[in-house]
Amino acid sequence: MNEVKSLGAKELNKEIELNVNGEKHSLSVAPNKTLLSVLRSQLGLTGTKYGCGAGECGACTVLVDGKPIPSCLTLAVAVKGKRITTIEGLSQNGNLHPIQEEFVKSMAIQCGYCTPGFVLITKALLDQNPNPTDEEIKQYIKGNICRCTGYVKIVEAINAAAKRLRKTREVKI
Amino acid sequence: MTQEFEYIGKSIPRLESVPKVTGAIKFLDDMTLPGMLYGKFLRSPYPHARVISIDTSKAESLPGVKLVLTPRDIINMLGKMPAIEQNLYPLTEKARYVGDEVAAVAAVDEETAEKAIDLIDVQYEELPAVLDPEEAMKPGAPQIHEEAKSNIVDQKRLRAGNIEDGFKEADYIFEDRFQVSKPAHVCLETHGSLSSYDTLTGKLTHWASTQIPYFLCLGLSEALNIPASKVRVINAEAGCGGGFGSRASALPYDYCSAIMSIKLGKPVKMVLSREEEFMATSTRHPMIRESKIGLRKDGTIVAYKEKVILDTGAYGTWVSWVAALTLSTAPGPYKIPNIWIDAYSVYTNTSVSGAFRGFGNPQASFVRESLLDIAAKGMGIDPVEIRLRNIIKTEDLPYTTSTDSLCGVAVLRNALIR
Amino acid sequence: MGSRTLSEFEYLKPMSIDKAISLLRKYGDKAKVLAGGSDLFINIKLRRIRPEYLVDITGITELKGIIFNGKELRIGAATLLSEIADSQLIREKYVTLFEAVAEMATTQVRNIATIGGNICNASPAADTVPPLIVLEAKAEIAGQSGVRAVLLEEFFTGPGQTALKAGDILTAISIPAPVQHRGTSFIKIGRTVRDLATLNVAVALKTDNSTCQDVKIALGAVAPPPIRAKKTEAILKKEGINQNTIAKAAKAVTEEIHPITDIRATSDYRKDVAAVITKRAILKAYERSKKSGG
Repeated sequence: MNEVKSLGAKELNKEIELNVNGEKHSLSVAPNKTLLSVLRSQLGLTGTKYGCGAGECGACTVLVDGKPIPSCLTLAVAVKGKRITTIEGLSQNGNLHPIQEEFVKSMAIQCGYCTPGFVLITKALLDQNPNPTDEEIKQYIKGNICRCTGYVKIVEAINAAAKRLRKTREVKI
Repeated sequence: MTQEFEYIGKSIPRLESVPKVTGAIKFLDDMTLPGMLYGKFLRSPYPHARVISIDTSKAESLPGVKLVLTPRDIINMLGKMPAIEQNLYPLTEKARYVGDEVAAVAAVDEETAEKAIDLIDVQYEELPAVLDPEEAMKPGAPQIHEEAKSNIVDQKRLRAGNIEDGFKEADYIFEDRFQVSKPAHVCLETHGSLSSYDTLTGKLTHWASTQIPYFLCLGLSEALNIPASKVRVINAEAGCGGGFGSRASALPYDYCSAIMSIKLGKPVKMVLSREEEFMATSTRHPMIRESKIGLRKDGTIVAYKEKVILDTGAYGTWVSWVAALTLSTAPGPYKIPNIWIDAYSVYTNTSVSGAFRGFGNPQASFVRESLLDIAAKGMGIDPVEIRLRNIIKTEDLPYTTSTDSLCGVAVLRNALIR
Repeated sequence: MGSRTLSEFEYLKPMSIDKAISLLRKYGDKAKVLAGGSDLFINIKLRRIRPEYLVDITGITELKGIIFNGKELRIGAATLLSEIADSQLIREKYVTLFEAVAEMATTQVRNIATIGGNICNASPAADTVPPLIVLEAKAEIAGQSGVRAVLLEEFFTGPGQTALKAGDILTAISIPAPVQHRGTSFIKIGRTVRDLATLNVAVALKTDNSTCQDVKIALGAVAPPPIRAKKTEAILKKEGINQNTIAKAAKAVTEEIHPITDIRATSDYRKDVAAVITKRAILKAYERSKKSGG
């Protein structure tokens, strides 16, 4: 992608390696690029979305070493060497992850813009707490905003996914 | 029937759910085209100001900047603007609200475009601003659109029966002043468009996440003087990341991404930030309603009178339609023989009010139902009961109301009882 | 006016406190400390500040960790809010801090934001501050002239302003060991579950039956830095804990605070609500002090 040199500034780019969805990428990245913008522009992984740029809406959620973070408030250079998972990394061998399947079955998707963020926060929640109460679910996902569904179907999907994962005792990816 | 069907009566997952849940489906900002440039707006920091001069030289000499546009640069390109966007210009020399688009830039990437915006020097002459619609209605208020006679852009009225007789017949009269606020749609996907003009064929292809692709096509064709047969509007693959009415207009970025693409012969994408969403996309129409209801002893409504002021903001998107609907829905599902409502739509130096789910109905219904609750309390009648006494019942159907509307549905009564 | 990109800066990641201090001294006003970035990047996006150097301190091991040595609890300034929320010790023995942190912001933000960042951003509405004040926390600072400790209550000199001098960094928060029969609590009022506080209150109460042996009440978003309601405390210390004294304390708090009217609430609303949540927080702390403390 284009490297921008501002008026009279020195070369600021850093050569870093990013581990995304199990694949290693050698990139030349300016320090002021967020992980969100590098994922979308330099790696073409557009499943992670810009919603607010302020860490409040959850649309930019990715997992770093399994933990959900706001990629709009994270510098790409700060996560080199860490294990990054985006929505694109969830399905395996062309098969949807059970969480993804339950979101589809529960009709928890309308416009779909918030969906990648919700699926990843659900993954993080169920990895940590396989049997959450409704209250625990709502507290955990409160950083993800949906303007279409009213959340009821989303919580249903999360409960269905939790039940299904408990049955199959899936191993953490 | 006990027959088992394969599809009827079943919950069938939507086709687009799978690419949505994998993140594969493309929203507008997920799209890139070869040679694509990124556009950004320079916005007025003042609610009401004239642009005296714009110095674009520093922005133009920033490496990576391909075009800087000012209102003068595009005036000759503009044809007829669509009726629903009364006076909504792609770039303006008179800023009418904080966020009004004054200049635009196209550059090789978003960061350069944003840097270039900071380098444009605009000299403004601040003008007195009017933020309150009642103030804006007064003679002598700052004139927001000089071509218009006043800040009152539209006036509508609803009449039925004889309102004076109605209130004379009323045993109880209740009135109050209500204000309905200015909510934003806050779609999770911000607004934007991607235009690609082919200089050889003269064809414009325009991607947007839009609720009105056909209107947009005609709108671009008329505004930019391109035959409609050469304008193709394509909704982004994923559709809208939320619409709710906010994407029911052609907006400045639609025109500007197209104009910049025409001038450069390259694709140009413009996407708004969240702050720009709040500042410069539309909201629901805030209203002030002074409303008065007259009821007989038995709780039946005999008269309903309102003075409604719609604050349409700096430009009149959809205002005539919202005003019409806020009048026609004012009586609600009730039998009201005498009605007198005046609606004034007024410009103010605030962000644009436009289409937002409900389209005038929520405001009308909120006020009417609140007043009915006040009446019920004042008369000592149960609030459900008072509605049952007034509602158009199933056995009345089809029912022509006092304002000549034909009512075909009356499910509310059952809903109320339940 | 609402950018999607950050302005340009150089990114530096020192691995020791000394190196961090020397970088901050070298670049002075042009440098900012980067911890989680949840406040810093917003300020940069809104172009309120344009630092040329960001000094990322999250790689410095001495700035991380929750360590209890029997006499005091030390929390490294770069400790994540999520790590604090996950700490069993804090959940059981420093409940006011746990309650503040466990529901702050969002799950995602708590995984990057640090306690040091929340303190040094010095918002009057900071949620970690009233609890730390009532727990008698100290701020440990390292700088050119060596290390020093400042009572957190005295750390704030104005909205957004702290006792940190040029080249200083906050290295840790130290909190005295938990005390028997001390109950603590925290209540926050916000417009939504993830919003900044319109108002927050923390109480630490040590009782012996209904005598109040010690009490500390701190409120945020009611004055430029979070404050201790000392006159209110005095009432409880003098007159003990019962229905009447708690009601008196609730009223006294409204007279001790000077909240402003801003986009979140009016001054009157804040005063009214301060009385309500102070009363509730005192009651909660009292219940806890009677049981096992915490």
